[in-house]
Formats: sequence, C-alpha cells, structure tokens
Amino acid sequence: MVLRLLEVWRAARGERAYPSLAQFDETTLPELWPFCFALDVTTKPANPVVVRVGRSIASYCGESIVGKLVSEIDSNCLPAQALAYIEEVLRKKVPISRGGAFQDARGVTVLYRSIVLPTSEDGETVAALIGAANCREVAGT
Amino acid sequence: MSICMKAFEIHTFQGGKWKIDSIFDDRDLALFEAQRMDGSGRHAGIRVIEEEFDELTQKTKIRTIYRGTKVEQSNAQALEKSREVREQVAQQRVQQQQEKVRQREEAVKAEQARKSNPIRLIGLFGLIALFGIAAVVALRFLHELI
Repeated sequence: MVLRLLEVWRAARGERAYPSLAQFDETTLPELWPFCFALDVTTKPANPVVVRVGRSIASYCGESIVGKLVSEIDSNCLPAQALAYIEEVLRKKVPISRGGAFQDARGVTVLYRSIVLPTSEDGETVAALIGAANCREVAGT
Repeated sequence: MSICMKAFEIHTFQGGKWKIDSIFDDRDLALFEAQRMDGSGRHAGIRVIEEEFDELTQKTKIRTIYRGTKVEQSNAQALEKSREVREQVAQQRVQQQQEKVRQREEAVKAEQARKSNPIRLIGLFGLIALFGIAAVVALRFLHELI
C-alpha cells in the first residue's frame, strides 16, 4: 500500500516537485482511498487540520477526526500514529514511511505501516499532506 | 545503553547532484523500492543511504547500502578511465626518463668530442708559444733598457 501510494504520487507530480492534493481521489486511488487521509498545512503548519479520512482508517478512531487539529487526535488510534512524524515530512519535504506497534484504547497491540507525502498547489510550496496507513491486530494481546 | 535509530533514504541523481527522494524506517522496503525505481530506468542514479543515529553519543553514522546499476556502471567506467590515465601517465614518465638519459649520454659524448678536438690542442700550443715569444721580447726589451 505504501509503495503503491508513492508510485501514484510520483506519477502525479510529473516534472514538478510535488503533485496537487486535488489529483488524489477515488478514481486515482480506487483501492487505497479508504486508507488515505489528508491534512491542510496552510493555516497551522505545526498543528495541521485533518481535512479527509478514509473509511477504513476512520474505523480505528472512536469519533470522526475530520476538522480536528492533529494535536486533538487520541494518541491510541491509528491516524495519530500515522501523523506522528508529519513535522519531519514538512521539514524535509519528502515522502516518509514509518511503521511500528502501538496499543489501542482496548489494550490490543496493533502493528501498522504508514506513509505521509507532501502536496502543493503551485508545485513548489507544500500546502497539504496526503497519507495512508493500514494495520493489523496482534492476536492474543 | 545506547539507542540507535535507523533511517533509510532513497536518493536520486538529478541535475548533477543527489537529492533525497523518500525516507523509510524499514531496510527491506527501501531496498525494494530503490530496485524498482532503478529498474524503471527513469533515474540517472539511485542509491540508498542508511543513517544510524546514536542517541547516547548524538552521532550519526552514514553508509551507502545500495547503488543502482547506472551508478555501478558509471563507477566502473570511471575506474577504467582512471586506470587508463594512470597507465598513460606512467608510460609518459618512462619515455621522459628515457629521453633524459639519451640527452645526458649525448651531452657526455659531445663533451668528450670537444675535449679531444685537435684544433683545440693546436690552439692551446699556439697560445703557449705566443706567450713564450712575448716573454722573450719583453726580457730583451728590459735588457736593452738596463
């Protein structure tokens, strides 16, 4: 999933440094879209707003996180883990993929893999981030 | 106990310099993606850099763990060219030394030939004789004065 999104991102940017967020939707990412999320970094780069969360990834949060600031998201859910390194993405301005394990609100250990990629409206200034994450629960925890 | 954090950066060669393309925390994923990118043939060069940050010492170790085929080919070509240049330089040096030896030998021969020249000897005798005659004339002149 991580590499597929990276491949689509590369194809979408073409000769530019970054693609536009508008280039990603259900038609360009039919299988990945439920696992994708997007953040607007124009108003508060240090604490961006969640503008989109896919169905599958949203199911790992107790409540809807659309419209929330990153700092307001419960740290025990998958989106929070996937958003933990957005500061590094904004600093280095390149796609970053991380994985790991965390315990969700029920105390179940969850293994995850995520990726966050920069996007831009003018092809140069990073205005939004798009990302994806998937996970699986470790049996018996 | 020191804690080491590893990151794997895929670099692409663009416009005469290396740029970070993407960053992974998983070695296998980074290598897989780098190989895939290398296979696409769209990049002039691909490499994967492993960055290991030691929190205790606050030091980062960096090493290249993958070089794309184009980089390898380019390195091999550069190595071959460097070998050829080294051989040419060595050959030129030998030729220069041989030329110097030849010039030195010619100079020695010329000097020997110059020293054993009969005209030079005749000239020398002539000069001595001239001095002798001059001495005799001077003595006679002095004798007449006295």
